[in-house]
Amino acid sequence: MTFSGARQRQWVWGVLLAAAVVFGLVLALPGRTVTTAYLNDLFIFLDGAHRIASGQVPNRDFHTALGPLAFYLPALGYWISGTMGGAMPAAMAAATLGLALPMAHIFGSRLRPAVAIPYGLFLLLIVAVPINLGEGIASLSFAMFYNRIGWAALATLLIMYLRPERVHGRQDLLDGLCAAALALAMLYIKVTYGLVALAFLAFMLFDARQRRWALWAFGLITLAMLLIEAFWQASLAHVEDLVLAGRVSGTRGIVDLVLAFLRHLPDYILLAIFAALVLWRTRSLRDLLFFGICAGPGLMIQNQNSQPWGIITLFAGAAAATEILLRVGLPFGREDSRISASGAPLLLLAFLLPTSLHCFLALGLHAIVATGRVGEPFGLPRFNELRLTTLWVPGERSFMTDYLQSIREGARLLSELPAKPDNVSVLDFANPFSAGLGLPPSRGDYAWLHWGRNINDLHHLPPEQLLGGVDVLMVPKSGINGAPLYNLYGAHIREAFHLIRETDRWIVHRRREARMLSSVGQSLEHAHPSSVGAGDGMSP
Amino acid sequence: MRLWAERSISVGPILLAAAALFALLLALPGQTVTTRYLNDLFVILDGAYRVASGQVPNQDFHTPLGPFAYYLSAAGYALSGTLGGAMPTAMAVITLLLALPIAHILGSRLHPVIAVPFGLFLLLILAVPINLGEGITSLTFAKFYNRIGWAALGALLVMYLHPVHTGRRQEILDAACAAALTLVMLYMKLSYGVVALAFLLLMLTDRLQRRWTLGALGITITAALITELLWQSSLAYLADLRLSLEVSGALRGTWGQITDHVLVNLTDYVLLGLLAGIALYRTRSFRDFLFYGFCAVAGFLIINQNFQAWGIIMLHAGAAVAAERILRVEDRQGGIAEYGGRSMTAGTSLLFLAVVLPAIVHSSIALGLHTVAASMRAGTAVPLPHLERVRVANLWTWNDYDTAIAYQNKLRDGLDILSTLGSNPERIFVLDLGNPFSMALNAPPAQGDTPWLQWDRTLNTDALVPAEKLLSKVQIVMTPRSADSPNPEQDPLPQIKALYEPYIAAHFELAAQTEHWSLHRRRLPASPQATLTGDKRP
Repeated sequence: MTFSGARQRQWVWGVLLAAAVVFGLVLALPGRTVTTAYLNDLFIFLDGAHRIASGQVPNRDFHTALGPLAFYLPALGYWISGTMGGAMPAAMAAATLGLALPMAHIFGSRLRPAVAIPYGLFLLLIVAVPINLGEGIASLSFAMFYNRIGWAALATLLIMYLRPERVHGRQDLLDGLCAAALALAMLYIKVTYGLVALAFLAFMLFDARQRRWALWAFGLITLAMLLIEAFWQASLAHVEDLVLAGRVSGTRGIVDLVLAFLRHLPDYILLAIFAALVLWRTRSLRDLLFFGICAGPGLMIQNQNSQPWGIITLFAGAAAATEILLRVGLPFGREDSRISASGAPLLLLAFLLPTSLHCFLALGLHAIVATGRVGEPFGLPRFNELRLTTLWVPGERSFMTDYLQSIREGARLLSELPAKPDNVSVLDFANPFSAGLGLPPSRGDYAWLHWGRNINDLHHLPPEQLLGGVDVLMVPKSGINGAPLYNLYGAHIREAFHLIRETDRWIVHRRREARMLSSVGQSLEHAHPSSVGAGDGMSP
Repeated sequence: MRLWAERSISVGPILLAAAALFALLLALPGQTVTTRYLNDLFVILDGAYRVASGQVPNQDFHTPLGPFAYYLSAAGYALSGTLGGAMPTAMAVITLLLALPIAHILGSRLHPVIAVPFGLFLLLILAVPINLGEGITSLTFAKFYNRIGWAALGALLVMYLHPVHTGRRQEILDAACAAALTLVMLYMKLSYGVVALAFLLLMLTDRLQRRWTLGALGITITAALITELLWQSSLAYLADLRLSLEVSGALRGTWGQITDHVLVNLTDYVLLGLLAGIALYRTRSFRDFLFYGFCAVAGFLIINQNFQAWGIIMLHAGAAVAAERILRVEDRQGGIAEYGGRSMTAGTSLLFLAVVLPAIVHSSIALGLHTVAASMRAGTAVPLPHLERVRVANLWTWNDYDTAIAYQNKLRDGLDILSTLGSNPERIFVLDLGNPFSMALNAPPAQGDTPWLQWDRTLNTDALVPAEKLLSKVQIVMTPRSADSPNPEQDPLPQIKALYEPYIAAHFELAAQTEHWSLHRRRLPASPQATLTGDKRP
């Protein structure tokens, strides 16, 4: 480490931005999405991109508990790539590059390259990798991409706990800008991350030397939120959707937290080693609180995610601890005080490397199968560049291929209708038809319907609102969670719609003309309740 | 000042005391608490019961496991006097026994800063009642032989290092320890034993350690010959092994599954890679390189055969050796080591702690959980006679608990029809994984059969013990009527049935049928020929 401060910062900037560009290109260049899992989740965001491209506004034109960024980002990818198949890879490439900028600034001013580079590459890989964290590399999927963005943003922000060592000309302003950008990204992509980010920024107000940028950040965040509300005008609607989702998807509370903690025990132990080394040396209550913020809220966020493994804030704690140890490492008097200081970067490397390698392999695998056009095309006109394959994902995968078969059949039924529908809605998890066939999206409904997560017997929209603007309604005979939804809305459907087509997999309804309204209906048999743990991340 | 590197702490007493503590935690409650793999537990207990009834493994029943696995569980049964106490006691015994070579080997070869954590790690792997890589609440004694094999192999591999003090006493103890560990592996599960022998052959290339290696090989061969004289079933053991090798193959799974399996253990591979990389940078030894490679490859070949996702303990042993190599280089460079050297010592210790500490904590909690659950009589007792001290608990393991409850109801149902037969039923065979009926009824076990019928592990369509051999001395066959797995299409029961049903139909008659079971009883011999063919079994 003989470089000067400026050289060090340039190094960090150069390596992280170059890596972000490379990862982004590896993702986006094939221009194709290959998936082996969570097909239904993917459809939510393709539909979302389609809705945005058709001029809809999240929470105003459709209900969602995810923030608007979770829809604007795929729409950006769609706009960049021009195809549905390129949308998610391009979106994630953009996110990787976008996050690399605050990362380069924050790490460049606060971390030694020996910490900044491995930790930065680790976070960039987490954003870029097309898998749900904690799953095998063959489990390729863009589902739950917002979780990975949230983790990386939060884990970047947490490094700001360290005071900058190499102060830049406009350090405070840039710090405030980065902190505000990261916090806003989290607030508007998934609010659980945003709340932790705000709590952390509040904690930073107690550091007299860093208070200035924290205040800057709060000011910028407030201003930005007001501006966003001025254009968006749906903040309250978003909060209502959030409250509803919170009511529906109650957890088992403490039991879930304990089980999640035990699943992450090795990571917690490693963070404990780092924290013990730091606290032994600094005896600082603030440091202890910081490690607490990394350990506790991280667990709570993870508990809200459908993700088997991956509390990334623990790694942030370890990276910050390594930097603290390196800073206090130079001894005065106590001979052993630098012992662990120089061992720490090695330990950090050991902590970061397995996950980095895992993500790197998965990213490479996606690039290979996407370039090699592995898998079966989805078969809908606008989904040409999307493919489903199984690779070697364990367990029975036939429900995925069955699901895709049913989507194809649904698309065929729709294209055979004598009159082109004004819009199509699906009484199931997701609606792949609007985006897949290029039909105008329906309005006032949910971006997705996940029984037990954002809708249940007690909490749901009245049928007039959910189905009010729907012209053609597709009701699956089994689907992902079609049965409980039909129990809920069946009566209204029989009243307001009439059956125009029925096959083994689908019943197609069309809105009755106002004058034809009567109570004639067709009873349906729905034998299967929701059988797929869609979007639940946990493989058995 | 340099406490982390001193050899002043005596490793031996610490590890022996820890082993005694773990053994007490296991055995004192005298109960088995399990949350999953109940049928595997019955496979083990059936084996212990057979040995206690005077049967000889591989002679009186087929099994791909070595006889030591059965004699050990039978010893636990004899010592505790109950089936519920058998496995905890057996594991307590083996923990104490293996603690002796572990303490000798680690104490004579590793710095305390490596020896103590690695020793605790090995002892906990022996003592913890879970299948390695599974959650803390997944309490089970199933696959105990894998843990014994790993711990024995982990200790043996450390002998790659030269002992700090050489001498006659050291050599004799080294030879005895190496031979004892190798024999345990050979007669517990052969895949470990083969790797142990390969390691000893590798050690022959080390001039300084050749003497004890030759001694160990000599003792091992002598002991194997004596065992064969007494046991007279070595060939039968090999034949059973060949059968299970034909069933599951030398390398199981597709390349994708193998990739995933390696990736599950990626953290350990990375840690070994880091430590070995630093060590090799210092020592520039090609033999060392071969040794680390041996740990990485042979370890995977073993776990590939196991029912186990995580836990290639050979990697941890390789890491211990690498860490020790680094520390020794630093030692040699003297007390006035320059800045980089000193920090390397500390970094190495820290890194090695990261290798073993997570598993140490995980296993400690699981062991403690078993002790608490067993002392508090958590859960419910298995509703079969003689198995009152085997308890099934729901420790936030809802799915496993439901499976276990359904399985127990099925067993209760089976026991009820067996009891209605009137005369004491004997020589019962269950066409399923696990037979708890013989021990529950205290009935003479069948002969020539197997306690372990597992599709694609001990039999499949192409490789199996033919019905004429398997069932010739069986009086009663219990056949499950319905699959009890959640995924009926994947249940192998119909395939197992298809293989043995023709013989059963020809030689047995249906005596009773319930919701869960069909009970067939052997037909009385119509002609003397029937018994004759039965006795022709080689």
